[in-house]
Amino acid sequence: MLRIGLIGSGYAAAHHARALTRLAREGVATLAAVYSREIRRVEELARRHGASPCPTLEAFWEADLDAVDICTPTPTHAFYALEAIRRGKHVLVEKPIARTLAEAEAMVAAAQEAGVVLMVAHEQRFEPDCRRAWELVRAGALGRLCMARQVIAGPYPDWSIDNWFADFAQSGGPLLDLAIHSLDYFNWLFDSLPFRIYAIGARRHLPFEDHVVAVLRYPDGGLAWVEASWAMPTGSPLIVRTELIGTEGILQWDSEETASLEVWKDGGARQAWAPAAEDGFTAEIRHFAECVARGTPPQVRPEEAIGALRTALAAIAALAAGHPVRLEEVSG
Amino acid sequence: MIGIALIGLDHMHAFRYAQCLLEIPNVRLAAISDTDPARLMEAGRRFEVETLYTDYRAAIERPDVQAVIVCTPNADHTAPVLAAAQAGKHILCEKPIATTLTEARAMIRACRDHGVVLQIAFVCRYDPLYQTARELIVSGAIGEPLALIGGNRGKRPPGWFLDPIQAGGGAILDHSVHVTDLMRWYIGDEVAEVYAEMGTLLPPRIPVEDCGLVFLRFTRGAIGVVDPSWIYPPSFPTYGDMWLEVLGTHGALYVDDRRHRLTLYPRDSGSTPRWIPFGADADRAMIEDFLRCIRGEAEPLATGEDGLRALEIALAAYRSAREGQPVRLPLEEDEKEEK
Repeated sequence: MLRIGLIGSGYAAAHHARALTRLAREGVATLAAVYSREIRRVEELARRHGASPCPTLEAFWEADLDAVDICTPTPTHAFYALEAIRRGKHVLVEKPIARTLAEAEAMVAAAQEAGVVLMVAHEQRFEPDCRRAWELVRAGALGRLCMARQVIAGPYPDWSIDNWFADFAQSGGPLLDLAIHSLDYFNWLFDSLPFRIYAIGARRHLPFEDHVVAVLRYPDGGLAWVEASWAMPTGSPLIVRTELIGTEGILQWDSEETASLEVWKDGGARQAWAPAAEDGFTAEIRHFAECVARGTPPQVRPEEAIGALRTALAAIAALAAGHPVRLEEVSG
Repeated sequence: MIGIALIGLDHMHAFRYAQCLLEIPNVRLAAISDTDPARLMEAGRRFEVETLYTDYRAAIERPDVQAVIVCTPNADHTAPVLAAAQAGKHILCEKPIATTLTEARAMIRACRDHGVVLQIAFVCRYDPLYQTARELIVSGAIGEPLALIGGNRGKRPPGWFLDPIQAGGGAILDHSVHVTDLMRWYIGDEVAEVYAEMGTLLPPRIPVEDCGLVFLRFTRGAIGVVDPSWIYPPSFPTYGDMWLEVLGTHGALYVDDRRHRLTLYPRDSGSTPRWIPFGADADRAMIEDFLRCIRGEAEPLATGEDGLRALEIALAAYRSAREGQPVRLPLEEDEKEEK
């Protein structure tokens, strides 16, 4: 059983901890220790999942861990990952891999040198709907993929620690934090990187574009576009709509239509989702544990995670410039 | 009784419009012209019209014709529109208004000079779904619009629609105009800049683009994105789709015409489920409004100027795709490649 130490205590950390509790019952992986700068949140998270809360980072590194799961704000990913790799720990890190390409490249190089698994939690690859669609595309059910579209739109996630999402220098806005799900999914579907990216956006609540659309052009002519929004009205659901258009057919699905389970509460609160198969968080951590156990490379290859980051940074550059940007123009 | 001549059966909407004319009281389909004699004879039988012409001028000149509906290929709108204007006949012209700015401007000028109505068939403006959405936006229900993202995707059309000269373009010109027209109508603003990506991506290969995306910046800062692609295979259970997401400073709105439908599952094993739309007949509403405009009771909801603006955006999209850069509006003149 893989002993995993979790760094972070926010939204992603809570999901990962819940997934680890499920995986512990199967003997796959267990949440051994939790560390975050938010002491109170760490204690609560650790208590809920039967793990040891670590009051300091030093105490965390002294814990008996095989791997580290990093669920912290994006700009801190590289620091924690490099520290973990230096100690010979395998690393699972939330998306995006890092805030800059230089950080991401340093992480990948260090992991390679140390011979540890470095996997980026591009969760959409493990979500049952997206995964099934990718399998269909790979099996040729749509012929050649020509066009892809994804909408990920919801209200502003106001629950981030210290509201770090609202700091563009940290989060990169919805293009880096939210659209990256789609950008990695597109790159995975088209099995290549886009050569040209354009983006346009609107500002509603934040001092930067919080409602954005990016379009990617792939070498074979393929066209993909993502709409990512943190600007939908409060109380509206997070909507995910996907369309894949191939020479032989079209796949369309929508989180509102696929939601096979709905819960309503007095006051109008509603939750709807599709617990059709193992959720993406559990599936991705299971895959990570398998890679560590078997010594196999993760299905999200580190260079693909760098590719997703580069694509997002190109979209950010295009948004700022007001004209299309070529992927190779993006550096740093 | 208003007499109407149907000029051209090239656009499939011509048959819908003819049917509407049969159903609406106090109007008659007085003549039909078409360049294809067999198709003309067939339409004459179907709509019980005996005054059939292969030369549109003969239809326009009939004294019992007060107005024309022009459904020729896009590049052939100008000649019959100019002839009708000179003859003092009112005009409902299929979209896009024309394939060049020069021709569109000439059409608008001729209709103004001769005091006839020039209405463009932006049918969505006559549909309760899009009208209600506009009323909400104009009334401030979602605040000031910031971003409009919409699509009008369809099945690949036949024949002249795929001819770069006769159609003036592919999916971008054919379908973007409906969406860009709605966006202009909704926010009362003009487009300042256009960027586009497009290509001929789906088989079998055609000489015009079938996929594309158009990105807009309006003068007051709102953004727009339009997907006009001809993506749907014949198996898609309806004509295509039309949808629009509008984000405002105080809320958001979404319209999607795929949703107002019933689903019919036929008993026989060979049939696939069918979508039965329960939306209003916007074609008929548009023609009824055209009749009000002819009688001087109303002004067209979509004018020649609206047709020109939508055309200009589409032409800017083609220029952007050629140059790989955003294009500023207004476009002063047509490019040489265009005709």
